[in-house]
Amino acid sequence: MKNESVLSNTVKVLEGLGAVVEEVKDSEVYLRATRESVRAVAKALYSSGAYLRTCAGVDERELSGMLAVYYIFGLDEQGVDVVLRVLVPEGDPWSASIVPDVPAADWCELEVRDLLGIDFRGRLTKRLVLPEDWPDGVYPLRKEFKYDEKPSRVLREELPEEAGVPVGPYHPALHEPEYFELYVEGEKVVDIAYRGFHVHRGIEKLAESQRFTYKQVLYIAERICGICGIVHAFCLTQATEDIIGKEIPKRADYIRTIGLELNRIHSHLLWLGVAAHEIGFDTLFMYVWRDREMVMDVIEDFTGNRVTYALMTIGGVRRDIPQEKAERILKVMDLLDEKVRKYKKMCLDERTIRMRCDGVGILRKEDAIALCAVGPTARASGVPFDVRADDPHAAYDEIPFRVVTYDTCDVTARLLVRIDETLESISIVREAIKRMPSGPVRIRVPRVVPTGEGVGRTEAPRGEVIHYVRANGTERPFRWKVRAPTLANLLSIPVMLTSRGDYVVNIADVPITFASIDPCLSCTDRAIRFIDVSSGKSWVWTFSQIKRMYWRD
Amino acid sequence: VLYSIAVAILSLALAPVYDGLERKIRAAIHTRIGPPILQTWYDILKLFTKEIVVPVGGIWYTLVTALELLTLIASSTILLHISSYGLGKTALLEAVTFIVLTSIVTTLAIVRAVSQNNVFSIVGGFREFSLMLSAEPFLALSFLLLASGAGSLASKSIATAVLAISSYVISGRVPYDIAEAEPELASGVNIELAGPLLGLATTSSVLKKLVSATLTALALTSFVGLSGFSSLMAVVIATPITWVTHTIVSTILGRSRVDLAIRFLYVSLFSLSLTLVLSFGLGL
Repeated sequence: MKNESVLSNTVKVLEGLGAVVEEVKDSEVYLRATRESVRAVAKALYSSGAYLRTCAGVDERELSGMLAVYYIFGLDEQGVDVVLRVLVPEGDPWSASIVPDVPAADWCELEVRDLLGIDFRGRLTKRLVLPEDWPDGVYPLRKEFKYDEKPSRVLREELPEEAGVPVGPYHPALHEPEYFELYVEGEKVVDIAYRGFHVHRGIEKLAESQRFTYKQVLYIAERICGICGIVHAFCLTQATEDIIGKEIPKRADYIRTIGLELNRIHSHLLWLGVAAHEIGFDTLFMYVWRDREMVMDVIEDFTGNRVTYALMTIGGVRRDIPQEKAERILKVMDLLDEKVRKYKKMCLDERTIRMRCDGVGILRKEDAIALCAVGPTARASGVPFDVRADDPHAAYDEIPFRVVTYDTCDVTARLLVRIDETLESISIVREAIKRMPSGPVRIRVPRVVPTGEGVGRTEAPRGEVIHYVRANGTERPFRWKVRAPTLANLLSIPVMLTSRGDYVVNIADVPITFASIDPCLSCTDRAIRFIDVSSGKSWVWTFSQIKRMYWRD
Repeated sequence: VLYSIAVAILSLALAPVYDGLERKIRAAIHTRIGPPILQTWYDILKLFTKEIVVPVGGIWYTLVTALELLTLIASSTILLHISSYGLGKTALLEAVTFIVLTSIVTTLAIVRAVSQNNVFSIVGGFREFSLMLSAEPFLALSFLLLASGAGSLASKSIATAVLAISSYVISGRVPYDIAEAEPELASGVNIELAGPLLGLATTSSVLKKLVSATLTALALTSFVGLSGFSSLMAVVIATPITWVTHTIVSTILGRSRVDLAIRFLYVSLFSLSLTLVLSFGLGL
């Protein structure tokens, strides 16, 4: 724990506001606050430099007779996570919202409200995660709700059809399903509203079912994402090992680091190709994806799989890297290094790319901090936040690397951050292979995980991934909460896509700006609804209305 | 008449082949294998075997799409007719007819796009309109000046440059494919098309590319001073070469944005045209 005195001062301030210290671990401090005092405590924490990683609702009636909300803050300068617990009685399930002071808690509070039935006072509430036809008063994360239960649909009044401007159910710019309302004047976007969560998969609930043990949940975790599944598997092992309290072999740490970095290389190259396609530069897209195959082949050679690697296991890794494979990895790293440098030069010199990316999708540093943006999205706004450096895990504390930041806060900055990070990842892989100690790659761990809480986090290609595990002394998790980086970064999208003053957003900027956070959602949705902001009304556009608007411009 | 029919059939037959060549070259630059050279032909034929799905606008919409193709065929035929005796020796009436036909094609394309109750088609249509306003006046000016045969080598060179840029724009390639811009508008002007109607639009699209390449080829070959059959042959040979050049240019660029594209076109074409008019006015 770094800066212990600063931390104890912060904790004293929080205690003065009504917080109670429940437990102090090496890298976590567990506090409890009442539902009335939580807002003041969260505000003080936030003011002291903490940022909100996520919040989670837990049905703890079996354990404490109450429902609970956990706000997980990060105090990176002190090197700790502060977990703030609020207990809420089942009969009167409400708590004060922290959103007025910590805007980044917006969606996770709504998620808790939808899934656990806790109401948050002092903020606007709406249904976020559950579908429209889900019945009221049925909360899927409560323990009495079976994981395979299917409540009957409730027919509600049909929403007005937003014909006139249908984009979906699929839109070429959106590789997964989501819904935007763009508020425009001509080609200028003046505001945007987002509606997502169309394919909420209920993975957290599934993991609580009686079918899966901790090790089996790992396979579910890896399937959260088809690109960076390894980081989810890693975070879950990290959180579980945190509860078990056993050190894993050093060689396993290095292999985990290599796996995570190879994944970052493939993910960033994939993104670069997609970004090039969004601005119609298909040649770059083809070249990058061609070269990405090299790293995919290496991953397959190393783990046996291209997508879901099944590398992580609680207690270490499932695959070792013999010398001949290490040499093959190094050879590919040399080739990629050269290629990626060429792409960087191309992105810096090519006028088409610069014209479409410079000054587009601006997210100012203060906005990135306030909205708790993570990963390349934050770093491109000059926020040097990188879990690998702030909270070194695996072998990151033994391998030197640079946290890449840019301060132009636009799409170009996000592009350059990712390219530079790819080069850093190549360097990390080389260094990890060079320094990797010999020895076993895993230890045996008990099937039954003792009662406790654990937090696992790492820097995924898109930003910080965080997993929270609550164990109850069985071989199955009592509660498993996942926060993927896209959830944190999506809150920044309205800021990036809203024209203000001299900053003008065009409809044509929407795909590349949206792509610039490297969103990872799940598939569907349709419409972009165009609304006249001057009157504040929304309507279905007719041909004549659109014609009139265009002629006016 | 027979000559015109023969030219029209030749244009219809060759344009998809050139387009297939374009796809093959683009694939080669991308280090892909790419589709067979006749793929565009196969695509068009397949589209014409599909059921007719008439979008909003009904038969009128279909007629506009067909008329657009017919006008393009006429436009292409006139261009090859002009080729047979060289650009500098063109009758004014033929040159003006070509310009009028080009404008009609653009107008029909815009009408087709904005007549749909689909916002992407409409946005695409208006993008096309903005783009054409930035390119076609300059195309008309440079073409008429070159057709008149007047001016010095320097002024003809400037006119050829203006014609080359503006004709590239009407070909609808990257970076000026903003009316279709897939990630932004989901095919924009073509979003409502399917089956034979899409077949008609695809044929129009490749014919536009043919007209674009022929225009530049015509301007370039006019410097050689050929006439008659040799002039026609020079244009016929230069056209695929120009097409390939267009392909390479479009492959190494990314898509522009409507405001950036218009600004660039106005600045470059306006300054070139101003120089052109001044050089003609001063007799340089």
